[in-house]
Amino acid sequence: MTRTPFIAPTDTLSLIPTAAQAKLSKPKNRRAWEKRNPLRSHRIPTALHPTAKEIRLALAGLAEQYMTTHANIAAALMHFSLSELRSGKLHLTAQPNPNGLKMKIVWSCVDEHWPQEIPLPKKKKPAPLMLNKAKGLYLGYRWGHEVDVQISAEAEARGVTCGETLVRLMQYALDAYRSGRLRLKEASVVVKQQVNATWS
Amino acid sequence: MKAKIIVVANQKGGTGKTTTAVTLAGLLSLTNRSVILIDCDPQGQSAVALCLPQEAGVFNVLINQHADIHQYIRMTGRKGFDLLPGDRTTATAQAVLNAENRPLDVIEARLDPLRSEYHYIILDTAPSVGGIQERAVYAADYALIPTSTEFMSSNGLSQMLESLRQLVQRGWLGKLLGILPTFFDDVSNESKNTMQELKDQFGDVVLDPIHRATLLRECCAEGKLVYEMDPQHRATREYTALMNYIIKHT
Repeated sequence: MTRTPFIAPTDTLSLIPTAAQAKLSKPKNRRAWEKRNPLRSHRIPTALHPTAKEIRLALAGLAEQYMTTHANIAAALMHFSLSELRSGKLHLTAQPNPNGLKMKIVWSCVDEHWPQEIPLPKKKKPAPLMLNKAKGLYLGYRWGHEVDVQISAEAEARGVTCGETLVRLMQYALDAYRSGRLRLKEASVVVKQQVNATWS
Repeated sequence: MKAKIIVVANQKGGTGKTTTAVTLAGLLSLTNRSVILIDCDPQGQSAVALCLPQEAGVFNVLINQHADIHQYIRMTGRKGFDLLPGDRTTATAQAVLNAENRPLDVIEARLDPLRSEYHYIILDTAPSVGGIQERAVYAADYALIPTSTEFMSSNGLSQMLESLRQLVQRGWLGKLLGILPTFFDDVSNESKNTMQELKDQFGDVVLDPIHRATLLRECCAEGKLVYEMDPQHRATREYTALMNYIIKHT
């Protein structure tokens, strides 16, 4: 009969967590939050494409620095800008865009008038090829439905597009970060509660 | 990217710790993951296995607390696979750590800058108790215990598990990746009996065994890894299966 080499190992092992058990006991992420808060992307006006690309790069850099997702960084920056907007420290003002003017036909009645000729339409020219047409650029991060609603409300109040508002708000937050006024830090967030029965 | 730290540890010597650590690091780097192997063993055999000179890398990292760890990292000539070499001065570092009663998390703190640069950090440890080995295990997220399938080695395994239990009580948050039977020999009764004992005692924690192979000994002399010597060899297949298990469970 051979002797066993082990000295009460089973009890010892029960106290050490194993990788396989941890993987099994880990609850499956059903992505409920993501389903409740679908990603909404905003089309960025062509003039703001360079700024939007800079924002995208800056977010990637910050995400790498803080070892988190782009969405987490974007959410923190956007919450900062929106809170500054609410507290009145940040002013977003809408002004006419000279490149965005278009002519509208209005009518007027005159007393002294004479007959006018209606010209026949000239031969329609073919539309020029749009070879250098800029590709559409969209920005959107998983910062929650509420933030998207707030961005839409701010954009609507000023009569500008959501994409433009988004770029300006992110630009404001990134400028604040660059100047050192805004600091980012990791903080623990309670995502799950557990009940402990205690008495006193 | 936050590196997963795996320590390959057993208090018993000659269980295949260095072979496992080096081969695993090499195989993980083949899957486009960046890996660094840290040789915490004063024998400094990891560098030898990779055909590199032994250096006082680990000594400098542990003793010069303010030195930049990157200056001691060496490329192995394999893509995504770096080495922090060690030599006999590592034993001196261990004596200093113990004499100065440095905290348990001293290695963990020194590895912190590498966490964002690698996918895996693999720690090869010495067959000893306390000192660097204890601190290396404390720094790790996962512990892999190679044990040769023989009576004496299995006895050392119990002691290793007891050390892990004590570390859990002192706040170690890592997990046991598994017990890896090595030097398994199909024809030896002792090997088969020990393997059966391991399975009876530890169940699922026991991983698929690595068979005894002459090629694994020859690799060291050639300065090559087993998959570089023979990609179709049984040892290559067994270590590849181990690598897949690790990727799945970490």
